[in-house]
Amino acid sequence: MQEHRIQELKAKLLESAALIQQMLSLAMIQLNPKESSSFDEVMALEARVNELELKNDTLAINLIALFQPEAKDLRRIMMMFRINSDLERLGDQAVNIAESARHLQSYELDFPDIWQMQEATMEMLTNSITAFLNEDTDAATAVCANDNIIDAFNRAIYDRVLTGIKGDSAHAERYLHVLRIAKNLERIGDLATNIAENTVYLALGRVIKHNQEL
Amino acid sequence: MVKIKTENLNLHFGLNHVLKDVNISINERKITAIIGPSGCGKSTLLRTFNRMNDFAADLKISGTVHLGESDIYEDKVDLSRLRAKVGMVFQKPNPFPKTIYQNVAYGLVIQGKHSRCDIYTRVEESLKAAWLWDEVKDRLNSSAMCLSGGQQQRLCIARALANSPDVLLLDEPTSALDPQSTAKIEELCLDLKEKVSILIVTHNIAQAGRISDYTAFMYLGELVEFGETSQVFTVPKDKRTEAYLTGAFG
Repeated sequence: MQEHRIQELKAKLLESAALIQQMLSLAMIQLNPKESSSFDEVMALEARVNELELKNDTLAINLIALFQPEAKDLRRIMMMFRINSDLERLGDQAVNIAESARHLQSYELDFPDIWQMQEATMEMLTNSITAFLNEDTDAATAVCANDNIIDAFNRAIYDRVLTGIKGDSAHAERYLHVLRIAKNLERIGDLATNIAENTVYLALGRVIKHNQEL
Repeated sequence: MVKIKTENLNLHFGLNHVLKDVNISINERKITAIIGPSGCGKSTLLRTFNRMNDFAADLKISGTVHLGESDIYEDKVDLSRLRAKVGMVFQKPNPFPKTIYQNVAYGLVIQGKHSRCDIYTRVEESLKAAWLWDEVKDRLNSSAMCLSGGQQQRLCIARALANSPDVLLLDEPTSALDPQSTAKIEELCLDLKEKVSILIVTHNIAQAGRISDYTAFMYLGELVEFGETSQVFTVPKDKRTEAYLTGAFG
């Protein structure tokens, strides 16, 4: 009974994760001037993610209240409770990206590294979700190691935006939207790392966050 | 769909006012747990549903208790038939000092209207439904007193099931059993609720959480709170329920 309900919670989290991946793709695609705006689709998906977050909260709280889980079951439920919260935040990041990408849609952007950053972030997110699905601690640990790559992209874009604003202040708003997208992608990398760290704790009871083993 | 409904149920044993204006609707084919501190009236409430309190001296009862459409406290009610429809299992396993087969067949035999073949079929079905058949099928003529405590309790459930009850009343059915036997009875309850409505009195709050769909909390003879177990266990409406569930009293 308890295991059945834990699996139900896990399936719901994976449903949320799939919606978020879809949101991010739709948000970023607006940077291509040839594509039509997908902002409304992103917002509709976010409403579903928010609804799922509330349902998943209830599922997790009920599991704890009704079954008093222990050991690995307790870790799984507590970590899934956290991952649920991270997924909702991921949805918020996707909305932020969608808003800025909509502003930039009519311009030809000379920021090829934003696409590379998006690709790296999506891969990191996909890997963290897959690691969670399979409770694969090796894959989860590898995700954590990749966070530096995303951070490096963010720093490089920040430098380019700064240079751009200094040389072309008339288009400062565009540059700020690019910076906002990079910042949100970087935050997605952090949240993917959280999911991976929580996966390691869930599976092994090992704390690896903040670069330390407790 | 409501299976049992009480309205303004009051019960006195002499001067002792044990149940106070209890209004409750028990849903069909669900597990309803009745929890509360000792002496709060939960077992007495359970026993009103098959009139087991009628044996007590100085009993005074008012209000109504309906099983389906019938008021079970009407004068014309056949108590044997009522107790066949509303089976009961007690805290301590209480098999008759007879064989396993005779225990389960007992209710059917005394009715005097079933053939031996029918009775055998019902005994087998009931033992299977109580998840005991595989353990006893080769020794149906052995004494029921030779079974383990957990097996004896499942035998008592089988004995109740043989009468094709609509409702099963379980009064702390696992408090005398080890954890493994307890787990088996709990799983059995979840299986049986497809066919019968189950009311269980338990001191084990975790057990109520694990298996019940609805929970009733009683205190000093009052029904303080009744609702879906997920709601009662997470956001109880009454402070007394919250205090009991968090161990502040009881």
